[in-house]
Amino acid sequence: MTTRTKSRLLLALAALVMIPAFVTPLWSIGLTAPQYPEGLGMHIYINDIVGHDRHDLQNINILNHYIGMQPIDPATVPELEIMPIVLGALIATGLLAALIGRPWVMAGWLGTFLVAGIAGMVDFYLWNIDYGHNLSPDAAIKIPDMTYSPPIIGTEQILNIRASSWPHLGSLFLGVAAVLAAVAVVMAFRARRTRNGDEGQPAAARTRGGDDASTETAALRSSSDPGPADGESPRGTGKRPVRWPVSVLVVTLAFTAGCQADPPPQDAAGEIHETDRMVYGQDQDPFCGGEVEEVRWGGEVQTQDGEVFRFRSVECLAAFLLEGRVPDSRVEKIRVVDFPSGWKLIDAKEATFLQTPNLSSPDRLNLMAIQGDRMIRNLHDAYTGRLMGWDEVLSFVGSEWSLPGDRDASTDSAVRSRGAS
Amino acid sequence: MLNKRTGTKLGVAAAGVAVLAFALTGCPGDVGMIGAEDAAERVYVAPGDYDEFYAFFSGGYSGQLSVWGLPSARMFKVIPVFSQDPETGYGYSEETKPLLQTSYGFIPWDDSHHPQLSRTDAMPDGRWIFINGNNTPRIARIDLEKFETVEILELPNTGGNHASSFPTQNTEYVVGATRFSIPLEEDLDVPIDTYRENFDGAITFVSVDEDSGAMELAFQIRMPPYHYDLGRAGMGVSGDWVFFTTYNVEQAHTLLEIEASRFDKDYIAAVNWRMVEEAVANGAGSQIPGQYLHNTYDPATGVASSTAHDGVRVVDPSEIPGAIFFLPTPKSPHGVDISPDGELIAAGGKLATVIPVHSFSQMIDAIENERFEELDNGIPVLEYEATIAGEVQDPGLGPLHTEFDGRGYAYTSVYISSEIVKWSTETFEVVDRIDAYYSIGHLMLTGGDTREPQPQYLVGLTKTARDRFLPVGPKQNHPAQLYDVSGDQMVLLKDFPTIGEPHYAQAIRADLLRDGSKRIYELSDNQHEHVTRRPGEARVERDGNVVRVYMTSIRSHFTPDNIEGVEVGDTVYFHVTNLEQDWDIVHGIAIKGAQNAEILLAPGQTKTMKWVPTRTGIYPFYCTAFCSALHQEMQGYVRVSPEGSGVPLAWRTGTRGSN
Repeated sequence: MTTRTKSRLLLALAALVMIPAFVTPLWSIGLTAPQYPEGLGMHIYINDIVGHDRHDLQNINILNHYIGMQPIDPATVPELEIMPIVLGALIATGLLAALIGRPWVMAGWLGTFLVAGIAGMVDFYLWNIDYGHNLSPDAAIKIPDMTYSPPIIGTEQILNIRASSWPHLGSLFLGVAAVLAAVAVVMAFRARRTRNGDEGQPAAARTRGGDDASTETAALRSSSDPGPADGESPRGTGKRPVRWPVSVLVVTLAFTAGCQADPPPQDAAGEIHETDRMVYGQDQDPFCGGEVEEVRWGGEVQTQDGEVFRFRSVECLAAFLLEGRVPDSRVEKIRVVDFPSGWKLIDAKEATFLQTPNLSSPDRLNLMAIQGDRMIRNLHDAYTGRLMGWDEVLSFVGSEWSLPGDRDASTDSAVRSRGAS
Repeated sequence: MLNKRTGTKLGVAAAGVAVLAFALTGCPGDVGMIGAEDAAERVYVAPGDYDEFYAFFSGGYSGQLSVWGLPSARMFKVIPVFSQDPETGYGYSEETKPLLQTSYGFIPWDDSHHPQLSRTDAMPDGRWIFINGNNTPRIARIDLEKFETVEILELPNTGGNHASSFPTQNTEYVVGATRFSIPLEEDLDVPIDTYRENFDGAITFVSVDEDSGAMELAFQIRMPPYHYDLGRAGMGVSGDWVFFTTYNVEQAHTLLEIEASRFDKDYIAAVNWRMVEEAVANGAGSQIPGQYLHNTYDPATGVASSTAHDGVRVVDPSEIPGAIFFLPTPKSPHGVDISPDGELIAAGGKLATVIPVHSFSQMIDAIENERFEELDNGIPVLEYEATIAGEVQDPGLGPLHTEFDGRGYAYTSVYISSEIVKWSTETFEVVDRIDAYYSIGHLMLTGGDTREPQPQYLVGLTKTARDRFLPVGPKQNHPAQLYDVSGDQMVLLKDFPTIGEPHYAQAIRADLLRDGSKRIYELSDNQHEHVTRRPGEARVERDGNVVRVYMTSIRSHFTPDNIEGVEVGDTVYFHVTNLEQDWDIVHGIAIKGAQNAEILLAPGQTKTMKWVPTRTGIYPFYCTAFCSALHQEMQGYVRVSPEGSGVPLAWRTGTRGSN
């Protein structure tokens, strides 16, 4: 069998391998939460969205309604009607391209296939963005600046829910089809080149026959190419068709790598390192006393010799410093918990603080640390009050609690809080 | 005269008991004790892990059935059976009230004694569990996919259904028997001292449909007016037989404590149920009056209903020669327990000084060789020596009930000396004994009443806690002890309080139930007459002075949640459907002033709460189950107007409603 015939058969095979994608899920989104240890989830088929278990979709929608997400209803997603047609057309044209057998036709088909795949992914991404961001103003639970888009690939913690999104069996078939088609295209070009009398190719590898009379020569750099093609000096436009099948291979391999197995199990803490977060009930507040039971209002001071003091509120932290319990010269880092995230530690000097009359902190000075202009604006709108920089916080706490305030409000903190007013 | 003599006898007996108890048990030693850490490790089931066994403890005078895990001894659930349960609304909702109906009317309580798992080939199959109601004789069937009572059958002609609800080895029948003989014509008005003339015993066979589990009163056997205490169906070789212990062969009807304890021997009644079944099929017996109710729960609608029956087929022993025999057994025996191979029949002669163990094959020989001592009311009494395989000597005082481990040993609970004795089924010698805390009734070895016991754990169901736990007043809960029986010696692992008074228990390997346990009721399968499948179908309808609220529950609102137009004197039915289709997402409903309990709704269920408002005003109702973060917000109001005020019916939730 000639290389060219092989390439055509391979392309036909690629088209046929796509058929199971009609009936197997392309993607799987899984959600786990403390209350859902077994998880909820949905499979995205080419023409439908189906819960992992019979009622998962309903249950996901019930949970989502608290935060104002639109219900996921397969009947309202037009793509689910279009995509089967696209897939059918791809299979039909793939078989046609194999029949025609010209390398450029085959490459063109592969290109169309990949563009369709990328378009599908972009569309999926846009749906995710829409579901996660386009929230009902009547939602019972509103968290300023919080959005809920699940990841396209990978795992993400969204409030109490851990969302994982991974390609499923259907995508595996499509990925295999892409690889097969890429190999077919490479072989087709190779067949044409050898037929055109490339000197670098061993005679044994030459093929006969075929009616392709293209004048272009393709120098292949596929890793599967046993010939000394690397030594070839590609001419003119021949360079492009040579390179992109290779990149297609890389892309499709990367794409299908995700299909190999379920996502690796992740620790509940995920990539969050223990040192980067505060944990309930683990520390004693060295200034205000008692266990740090609320983390959201808290912060920490790290000294140069590695000692860490953790506080249940920004005011305790500020007072601790104002009293000089640790001399300024020893202080390495002052970090406060980013209030909206509830656990993330941020540099106090970079944070903006909202002193609000509408929420009580553990020590009643109600200083919430925030980062980012939009979040600052949202929380300020929601809770009202006065925005401060770190130095202002120190003097505020100093005057409220009559502590030895040795600092002044610096001008730059006023500048930092400007964006939120 | 009589009293004095009896008193002297009792005094001597009591002294004997004390001496014997000491002689038998000796000083409290460390037999069967292991390190606390070792015991703790053996009962430890790590958080999130599962137990090896499900165990079902009868509730005794609570009338219920509790579900436990072994070896952790954690209680999972109380299944309401014979008693109203305000916690779930069982017996309060319109759907469940019919389950507690009897021919004597609605009875909100009973005394549940002996849970029995349904069996296939003498092994628990995990489909249903049966339990008897002793006081107003009944048998209940509990579905083990839903863990809910689905059927209750009343037994007529029975006084105290105690020797119940034991199934035959393939659950062809479950049995009932009278503990307190009464006239079979139940409404008969006769002097009590015409006991011998007018009273009869009755053994009841209830057939169980192989597929649906539905029970049917098949036939009764009119027995001599003795008291039938406990029963057991045979297994394997003895699979065609059912055995009952009897006491009060004396036929006393007053001061039974003394009067029914006179004779040295009572009987074990052996009944060949296959022969009786065949005879009945061939027309034996006659139909006599006997009122009873049959209450069934329709799984499609989730609604229970009662059917009244009058009349039952009763067979006289004289019609079925060769089907019933008496085995003389000392003395007022309680348990009658069959070894896994079906060969040994161990009796707990609660006033006896030995444990008599009959042999089934010897019994068959004796029947064939007609080794009869006499006829008692036409029933042949076999010679004791002919059927007895062995007597366990020194078993302690008051042996009650025995289970087998399938490895050549049996374990008998001993009430008076408050211990468990382990004895060899070969030599009939006691090989081990261990204390019970205190006064043990039944015991339950994992699988110990089946063809293939799993001899890992033994639960002793004891009657008094006394000093075992932190005291909680003069009346404390009944305790149970968990023993490890996997080794040569019994080892006490744990003792723990229970609910009600567990008389007996069953255990089944967890995997036989775990995966089949239902998670939700499919809303699409809900055929309740008053189901509301979507909030859009929620409505309020009036028919005369009956107001029906078709209501839905879903996190976190009722539809409708504002209702007007109800008047004093109306009867309001809240037909609430829980629209959730997620495991363990439960909603409830309660309304101020309702003379009723709350009603709990499992996902996909429809239940009805009846309310008759007696005063005008605004009545809040709310979801009683903490269903979600916005549970407190799941509430509503009903406006009640004066009778005849003509306030139009109106309802809404949010902006959606009738007007």
